[in-house]
Amino acid sequence: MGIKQVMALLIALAIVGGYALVQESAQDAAPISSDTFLYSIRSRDVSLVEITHIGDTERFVWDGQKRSWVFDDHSRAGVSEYRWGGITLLLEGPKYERLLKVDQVDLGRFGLDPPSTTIRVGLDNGDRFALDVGITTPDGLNHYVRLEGADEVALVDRSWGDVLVHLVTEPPYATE
Amino acid sequence: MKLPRRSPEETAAPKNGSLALVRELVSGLGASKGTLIISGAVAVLVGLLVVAMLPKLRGLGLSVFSFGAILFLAVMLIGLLQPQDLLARRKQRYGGIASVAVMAVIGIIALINLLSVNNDVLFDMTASQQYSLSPQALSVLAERLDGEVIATAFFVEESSRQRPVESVMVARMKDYLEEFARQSDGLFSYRVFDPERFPDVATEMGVDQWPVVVFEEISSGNQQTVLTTANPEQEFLTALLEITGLEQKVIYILDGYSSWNPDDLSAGAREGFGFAVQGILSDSYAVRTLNLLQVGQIPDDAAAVVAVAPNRDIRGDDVALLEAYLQRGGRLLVLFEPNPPTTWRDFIARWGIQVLNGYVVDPASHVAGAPLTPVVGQGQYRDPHVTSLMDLSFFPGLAPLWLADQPEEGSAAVDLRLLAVSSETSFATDDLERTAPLASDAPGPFIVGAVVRATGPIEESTSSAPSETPGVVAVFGDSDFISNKYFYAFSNGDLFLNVIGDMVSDETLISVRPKSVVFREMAMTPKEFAFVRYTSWLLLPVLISIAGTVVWWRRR
Repeated sequence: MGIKQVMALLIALAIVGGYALVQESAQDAAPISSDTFLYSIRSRDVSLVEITHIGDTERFVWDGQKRSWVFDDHSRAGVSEYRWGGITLLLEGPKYERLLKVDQVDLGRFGLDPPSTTIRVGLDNGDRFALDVGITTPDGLNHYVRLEGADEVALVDRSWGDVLVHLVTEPPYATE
Repeated sequence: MKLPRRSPEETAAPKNGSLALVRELVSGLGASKGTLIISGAVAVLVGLLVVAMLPKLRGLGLSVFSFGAILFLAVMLIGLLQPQDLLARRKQRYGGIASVAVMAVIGIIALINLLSVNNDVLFDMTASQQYSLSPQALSVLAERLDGEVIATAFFVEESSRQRPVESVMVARMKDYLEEFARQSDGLFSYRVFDPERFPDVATEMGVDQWPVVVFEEISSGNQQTVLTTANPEQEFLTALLEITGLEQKVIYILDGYSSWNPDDLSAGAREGFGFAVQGILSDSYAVRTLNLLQVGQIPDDAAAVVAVAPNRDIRGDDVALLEAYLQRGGRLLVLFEPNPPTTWRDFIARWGIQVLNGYVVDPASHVAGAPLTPVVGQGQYRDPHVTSLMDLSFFPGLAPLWLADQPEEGSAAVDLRLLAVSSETSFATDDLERTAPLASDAPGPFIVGAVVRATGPIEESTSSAPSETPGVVAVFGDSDFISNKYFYAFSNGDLFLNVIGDMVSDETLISVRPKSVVFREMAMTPKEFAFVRYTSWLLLPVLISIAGTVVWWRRR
């Protein structure tokens, strides 16, 4: 093997080695994020929450004059502060355990076609988005949750969905 | 680039048309052909290495490989157009040969790899054979499965969501499922589901926690679930036996006559033999305790009854039960400690073995510094059927055993097999401080362990026709060797488990068993891991390159 071949070998080795080194370094430098949220909004931007669970719907809006959350019906009754406290914080962005890539076929498997629960959130700036909540995982620890239109389903702690569904099954009427 | 000299014919030829262009190209390669061929081969090699070692750079690796292959083939093809040019010069010829050799080696490696993927063979090179199935498992899979069995494993795909210990267990469970399938001649198969991705399948099979494997016999629909386990082989085998209805042999530990604890799993326990019980379980027997005072009978499913270190007198009723059990073909293993109760001695003497007074002192063969702990080596084992391939075994505090008298004619004994004996220089004494024999001491050698097969108590002459299945009585003069403290030392555990396998006529179990799984992974910090990785990737190739360069420089 002549000098040209040796040089070619060394150059090839240096190129591949350098590339691998850069790749590995880039990976090592990347922070491992534990903040895995399905989405992220500010709770003070939320102005509308509508939850539909197995045909029943409850709708809540922020009343700027009363400076409190009220039922969006003819009564405009205020919600129980005790029950409502923290709801908008929950809606800032649920933390998920895992994201699953899905296609339309999978949605039924996760109880998302159709979903048993749909949560619609409105923001001050007029933006709207919806979340579908499916069945729980077989171990009962998480709900399958899908951001409307997304091709991913998140595993979100079961208590998150249960608290929101509870607003429909037992509406948070204020008690005098 | 240095252009080759042209012949007058080439110089005179017209330079128009595609033929002239090819000719120009071919002749233009000239002296660079060898370099190009080698570069192509190197690119092929580098590309393959990148694909094999750096999955994340697979695209780049394939590109380098393709480029190299095209370059190599193109230059070779062009070279064929002018073979006299390609082979004319020695350096080019050597370069071509080297290239072909490299390609051939790569091809051979690729073909071997392909063959090994399609025809997988397991070579278990671990010292403890920890990846090999036990003979019992092989027997069940190859010979005793009648119908199709499918195992459905539920493992979360993302190993990052498993605890470290759990991921190791899952990997072992997968290995064993694969091995079970490989050894079952098509009757056992398995499938793996991610329970979070396929909640419908998990729910249908009643799975609400994982990792878990559900075994199901297709014809009967019988199911058995095995959760995460550090001992998949035994758990899987037990599940197979249960769903297929194969009878599982039960070993009963005699309760009520000893202070020794079969449930004690503490490592240093001297009066606990939980490890021995685990060993019996690992051989796929069920283990239960048996208190004859409470139960009043020996269950029909008893494959053997084991008495460990009996130190309380045996009741007459229990003697009658045990003798009746032995006379109908039962099996009894008794492990004594020195100077056991007289009632036990009398009972065992009726079956051919005498337990003498005192301890065995073995000046010629003992654990260093402990003459009261005789060591038995290959020269002292007497039954190759049970003890072949075994290492040393030792017996801390050994009771001397010898043969009991039996009638000259009409003995009920069918045969008597010695398992091991102490050395010629051993003697029995009650003086625990003495290491030299006195004239009054009983001289050795003594029986360390023996197996008697008899149709009845052999001290009684029998005139009746022998029963079809004689009873089996196995006796050891020591119990300590199966205590947790000593069970895994040398071949102590193998000796005990082999005797049980021999007693219950389970030929497949007469073997040296795999030892407990040893943690062999090297624990490194990320920096140490990076050092090992990069030095293994780069150091050797660089050293070889430097050496090559030096050699070339000196020869230049």
